[in-house]
Amino acid sequence: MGRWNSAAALALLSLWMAPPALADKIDDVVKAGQVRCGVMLDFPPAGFRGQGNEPDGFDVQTCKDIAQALGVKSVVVETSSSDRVPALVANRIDVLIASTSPTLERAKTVAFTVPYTAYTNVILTRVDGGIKSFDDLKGRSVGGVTGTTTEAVMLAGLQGWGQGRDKYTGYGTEIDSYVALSQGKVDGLVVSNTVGSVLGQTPQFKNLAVIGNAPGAADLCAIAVNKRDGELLRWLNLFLWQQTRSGRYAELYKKYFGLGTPPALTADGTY
Amino acid sequence: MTFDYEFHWRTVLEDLPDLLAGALVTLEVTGLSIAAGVPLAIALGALLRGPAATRVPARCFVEAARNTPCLFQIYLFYYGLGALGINLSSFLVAVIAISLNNAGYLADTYRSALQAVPVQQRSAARSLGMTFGQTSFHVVLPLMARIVYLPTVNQMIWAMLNSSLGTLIGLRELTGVTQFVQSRSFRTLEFFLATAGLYYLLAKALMAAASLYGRRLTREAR
Repeated sequence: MGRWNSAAALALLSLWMAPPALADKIDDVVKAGQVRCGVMLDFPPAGFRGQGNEPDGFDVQTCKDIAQALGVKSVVVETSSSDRVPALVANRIDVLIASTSPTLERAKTVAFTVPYTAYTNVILTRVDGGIKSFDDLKGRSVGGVTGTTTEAVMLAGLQGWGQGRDKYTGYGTEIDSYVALSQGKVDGLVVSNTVGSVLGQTPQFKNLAVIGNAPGAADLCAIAVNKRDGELLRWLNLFLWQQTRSGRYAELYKKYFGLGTPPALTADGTY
Repeated sequence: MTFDYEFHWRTVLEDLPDLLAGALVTLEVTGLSIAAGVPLAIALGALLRGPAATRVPARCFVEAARNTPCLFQIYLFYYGLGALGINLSSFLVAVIAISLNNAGYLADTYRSALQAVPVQQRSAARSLGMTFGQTSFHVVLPLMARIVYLPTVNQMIWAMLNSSLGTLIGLRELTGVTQFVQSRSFRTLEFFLATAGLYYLLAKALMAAASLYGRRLTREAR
């Protein structure tokens, strides 16, 4: 009798201990009925709050398209620049759609999709500043926003001129850097073309102007997921391929950036 | 909450020299802001004990310094002066704004400490032929020091924590450096934890340094 009992217990135990069929992130999202996207809402027109405080923008709409394709509800979670990775690893969000440049260094921490949007970096300066090209900024005070890709472009420029960082000031937010430029604390910034076009229409920054492209290739940005969410990553790559192929990418780009033909999401000489 | 993450501490170790350089700037701002804030607070304390003509302006300053956020004060000196065409460096603005913040918080402490020195001590010193300056430096300030020692150390720790706000106006102190290096590798959690630890160590180091002076004060009191 005792033997049968232990045999039954053993059978039960082995059932309990059998590895469950592994649910991946897509299964989790579909079961939860919602996909949670981390978006930076202080980066118009990619992410901002519209009338009624509703999140809107290119990144927000991309999140809604993902949700629609998955047949679930979209939940936009505001993530500041430095909250992007903590939000992902603590599982507060499922995908990060936040104009993130997929550097190889960062890809050791999170997994990136193929590019979903692209920015051109331009030089923003004062109308009366006497700066005509990027190289005119050599030896002048320049600025940027700490931890951004545009900052990296500016720092690379400084290095190219053989300058140290003593003439560079990294600000906390985009808007702070525009005010600093406007007041003459710095003579030039590298910003995204999309930001440059918005700033021209802002009365308080009417003394600022874009004078041309910054050196370097277009800044292709990618969506990020947790490193171990490989299935979701593959699904997103297909989604983005469909998004461009169907013309939806061009449609959203025109709606939010209003800059005509959307930039190619490929690099010269490769895919 | 699921937490599926491998900590990479080696990345932090590689960037540790940068973090320490930032910590040095943090210490510089803290030290300078206390060195400038304490004499200001003593002056304010004296003004607060004076007639209405000195008391009212001093009180207005203290009220403004204590009841507005330090971040606002830093912005005021950086962008406010900038709007008037006066552009000071991030470092100078951080030192000035935090010095004034320190002075505002410490003013009433120093006022009450001045009050706590018995008037007889002063009259006795003066009757011995000491000048006002001698009386202040050799009698009043040493007696005040024991009273204000702890609140001043407290304010010094506050000044150090406040200096992290300087990162928003481009100061490359510990927080600013942390923001920069974490954005490069996205090892946000490791860097924020390491920096929290560094701030803790800095606070302890400041307290240890202050206690070298504090021990002498209490020994004299015994």
